[in-house]
Amino acid sequence: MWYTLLMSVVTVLILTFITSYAILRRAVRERELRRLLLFFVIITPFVSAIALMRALVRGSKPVRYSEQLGEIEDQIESERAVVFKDRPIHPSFSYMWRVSYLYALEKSAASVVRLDRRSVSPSLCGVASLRR
Amino acid sequence: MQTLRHFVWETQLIHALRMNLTIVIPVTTLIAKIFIQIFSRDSFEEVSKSLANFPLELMLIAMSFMLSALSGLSAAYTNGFENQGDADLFAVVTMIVIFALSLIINRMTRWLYVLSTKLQVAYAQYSKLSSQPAIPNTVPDVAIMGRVVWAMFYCSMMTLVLVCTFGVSVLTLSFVLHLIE
Repeated sequence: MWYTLLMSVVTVLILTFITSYAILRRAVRERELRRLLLFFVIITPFVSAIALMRALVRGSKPVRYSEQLGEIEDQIESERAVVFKDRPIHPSFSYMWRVSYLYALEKSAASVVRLDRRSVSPSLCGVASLRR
Repeated sequence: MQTLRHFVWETQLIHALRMNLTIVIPVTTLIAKIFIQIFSRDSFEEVSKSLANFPLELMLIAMSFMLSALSGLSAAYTNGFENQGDADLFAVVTMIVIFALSLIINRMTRWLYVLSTKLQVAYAQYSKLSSQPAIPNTVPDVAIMGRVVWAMFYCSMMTLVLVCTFGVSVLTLSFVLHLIE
């Protein structure tokens, strides 16, 4: 059972690397940049597994939204739609990134407010007993 | 004596191949597919495009194995059930599940196409911007590095999609092989 599972994982990694290499070779002509991207391809499965474990144990932290990077993604997407005669993706990556970052900010702000109310509540600082 | 040694070596190789069908079938099919396209003088673009569809092809291979089990070609499969009716019903249900998983894989392959075209455009924009002359002693423009950052992101996403699609297809194939072996 474990041997079959291990063999399956090895097969998945081999097939993923071969296919990624073929796609990268077609998309990126510059050798140095292709090497860098290939490095990312190789480390992604392992880093993602570790990140998933950490997120399950400690919870995930949002990545700060960058307006400039968001605009660049929008430019890439609009050109892709024109070049490949395809519909633009909606919601785009930049939109999802912004929304998820704002949601995480709101969530953390709400938890801070909740914590603040609890820490200055009358029962905790003794105001309630003084009033009596 | 030499003939006997050769025979032993051959038997061991065949035994190893039989033990690792989960890795042998996909990798052999992939290599055969690449060689067919190379001998047919297909362009590299066509080879890479067809490779993206490989997870779906593995699902079809798994489905054909289940069809062979349904038609009674595998005695080992039928022996695992109390009667023929149960074996046939399980084969049909498995095929329906494989079909549903193939639909998901097909959808994810579409995402793979989108990500690879995004990567192409990001690289095209990067090479266009980096070929323009820069003013000396100035801070590098975020527009160039931004494209590289997004290319890295697309690569990581592409790898994750590939791991998911190949993961589903290889696990399905190994499950079917386990059933009929």
